Amino acid sequence: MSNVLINHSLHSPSHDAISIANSNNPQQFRTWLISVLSAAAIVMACALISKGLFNEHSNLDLTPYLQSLVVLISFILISVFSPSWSTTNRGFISVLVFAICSCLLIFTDNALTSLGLVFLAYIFLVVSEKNKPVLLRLLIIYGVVIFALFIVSNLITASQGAAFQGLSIAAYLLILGGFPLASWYGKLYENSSTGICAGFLVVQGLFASKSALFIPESSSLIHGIFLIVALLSSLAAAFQVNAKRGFAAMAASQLLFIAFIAMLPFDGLAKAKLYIIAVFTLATPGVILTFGALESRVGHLSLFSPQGNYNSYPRLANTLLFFSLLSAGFPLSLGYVGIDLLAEIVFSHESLIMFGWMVVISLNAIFSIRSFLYLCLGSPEHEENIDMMTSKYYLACGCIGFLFLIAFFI
Amino acid sequence: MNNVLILLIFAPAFSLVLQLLRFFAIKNISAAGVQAEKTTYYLVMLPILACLLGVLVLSINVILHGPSSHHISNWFGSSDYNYKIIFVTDYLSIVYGLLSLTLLGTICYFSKRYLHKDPGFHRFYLLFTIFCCGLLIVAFAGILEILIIGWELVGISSVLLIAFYTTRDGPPRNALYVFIIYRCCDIGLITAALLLHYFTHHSNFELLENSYWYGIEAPHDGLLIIGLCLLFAASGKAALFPFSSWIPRAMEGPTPSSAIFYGALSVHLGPLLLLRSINFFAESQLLMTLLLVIGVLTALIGFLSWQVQNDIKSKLAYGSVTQLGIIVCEIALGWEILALIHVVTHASLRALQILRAPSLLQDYKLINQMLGHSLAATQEYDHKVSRFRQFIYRISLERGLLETFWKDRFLGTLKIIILSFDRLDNNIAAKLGNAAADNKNTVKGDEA
Repeated sequence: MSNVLINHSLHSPSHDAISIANSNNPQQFRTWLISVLSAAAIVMACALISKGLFNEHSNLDLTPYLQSLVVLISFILISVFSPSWSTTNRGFISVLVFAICSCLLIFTDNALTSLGLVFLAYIFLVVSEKNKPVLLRLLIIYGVVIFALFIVSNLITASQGAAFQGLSIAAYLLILGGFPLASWYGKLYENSSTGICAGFLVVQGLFASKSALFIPESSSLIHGIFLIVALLSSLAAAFQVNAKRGFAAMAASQLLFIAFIAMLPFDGLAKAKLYIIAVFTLATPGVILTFGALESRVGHLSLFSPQGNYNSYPRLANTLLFFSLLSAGFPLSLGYVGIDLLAEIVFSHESLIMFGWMVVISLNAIFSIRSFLYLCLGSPEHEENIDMMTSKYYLACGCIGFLFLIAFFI
Repeated sequence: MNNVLILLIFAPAFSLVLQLLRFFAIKNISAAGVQAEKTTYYLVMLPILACLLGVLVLSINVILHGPSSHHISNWFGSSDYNYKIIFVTDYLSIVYGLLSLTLLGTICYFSKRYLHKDPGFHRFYLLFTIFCCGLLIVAFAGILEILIIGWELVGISSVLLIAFYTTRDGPPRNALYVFIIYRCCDIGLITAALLLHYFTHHSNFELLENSYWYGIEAPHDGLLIIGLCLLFAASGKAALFPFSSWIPRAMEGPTPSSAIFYGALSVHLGPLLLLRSINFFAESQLLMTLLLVIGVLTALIGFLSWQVQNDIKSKLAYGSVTQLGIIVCEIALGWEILALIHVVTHASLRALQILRAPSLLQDYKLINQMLGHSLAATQEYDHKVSRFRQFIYRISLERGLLETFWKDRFLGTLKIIILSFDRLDNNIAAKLGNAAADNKNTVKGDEA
């Protein structure tokens, strides 16, 4: 056990001795956070049942309630998975703020409120990185640019529509981490705690789903721009040697995909949007959290050559595989259902663009499988080390099972 | 008949769920002993036998009443789109079903001893079951979307079986190479399904005229593009030209998996798709010619590469490629029944050869003992070789230069471009971060 703890402190890039020293019984705070999130999830589930989830004749729109439930489960996963070195009060307050911002983002339909919530989440992201000067500066510079672009675009009158859209698109591409425009995004994943990254990822996903508020008159050109940036991001992920940087690029392309879906003006897309966002908010953070758990055990995660951790950490490897498959829209999962529904509707309107997105999804699947193959297989070394904790493993299996099973009950 | 079809698909799926639950419940299942191995074996073997019985019942029904289509249920949908679960029972699905289940049963039995006490015993059977599900779904699918599900299940289980040995560097690398080719070619199949919906508003299989099986109805518009997409998808799965290079890499997995995937069943899904879409090739002369050219080139490259391989598995792999090329030529020439017979005979023979491959050394040893001397090569090397033969030899050694093209030229160039963008991204980050740091250092210096 002590060996593992030494490994933790030696290998964790985000290890922060000062924070741990300053923390005020973080374990207690963590338990409190998990309890609050679980209680909220139970309340949301009860609300869903009472408002008629299983009542086919109910006219209520249950989408926000379902989304909130998935988001809360995702934050429970994040809180449970966050390794010991990030259980500082500051880290957990950030995660709590991300959870609150996410839930509020679901229920708001106002551009300024959405922007305010993301701004708040971004501030807490910056605050959580206050002991990493280079990253902090990068985040501040990009934060100023992004929010200045958003504010200027909102201040410009409606008569100058084109300029308004151009600035909004630029801001959107920057905040969603589009490669190679947003340099902060890769660095954030490389240097930050995976719990914080996963939390902010959920906020980003929900903000991406509000793209229609900021880019109201989308056209094929705008869809094309989003597609090209996503394609570059996916290719960058596929060729990336640093696993966490690769994940950042893949996450960026998925975020752009969500933003693209939200911009589409066609009818009948509500279900597809819901399913794709649900998978993104649960499976994609699952991948980065598993990366974090693996990193805390073995150190730097390189995709240059096979690392071979399967024999030492079979539970972690299996969790990574399933989360990766779900994130890539594996058949018989919720992601597959969402993508299929979306493709059927969008292909008849924008065939070429949809074909491009199918390529992006395939490239993301290649990164997902590559990360599993290279991080988990291929080395004879076998260390008697501590695999994933049973509670974490069961929770991860529950989330995986949920995303597979729900595909058959929708 | 619907119930029998449901049994066919759900028996392996049920076995899969049970195996997953066992993985979940038993922490270190590989150390659980012989009894656990037996349980796993029966969990896989019994559904295969049940399915075999089911296919026999279906075959009697097809012989008595002819081919039929069965709409089982609707899965999901929106206002103007419904995902239908349709299966077909025709001569093609019955032949593929019987072939698959017979070989799967044989290999399941073989693997019980071959992988006995192997740490990955249970993992192998789990992936084997996923493969079985995928294969049955592809064989009996009555709509292209359902076929895609089976197609992808077969793909992912093959890739994970190539990477079966977790302690060597080679399997994950080769598995990734195969996955990239599979995934790229799958785009063709998905696009074909979307295009079919676009042009005909459905992708259900229709009973083909003058034929014994159901196939994809060829639309008037978009015939060429859909045909090309289907050909692209079939080429990837069946290791046809120009994607033949993955097949020797796929031999990294254990022998039973090589036998089912690359000798017998997986590679023959390409011809199955071509047989289902035979209408497209009959309607378009261009597609037919292209199919014939691909078949000839595949057979030629397979034959040349086969000649120079020095290990038994690679030799058998290229033997399969040659035969697949010939099967495709038969389909292109309109000899579908011959192609189907060829698929069955080739799959059975190749599975047997691959299963026998590991004991070949032992066979040689026995023959040498009986002869009293070693079986040395008797043919003398001819030093006067023409330049043309030298060229052909080089091409054969390089396996038709296909791997060089895909890996070094295509992916290599793409990698250079993307990594240059990545460097730019890194430089911007470094400049912004360090510039601020430099400013701070300057201020600190001034203060000092």
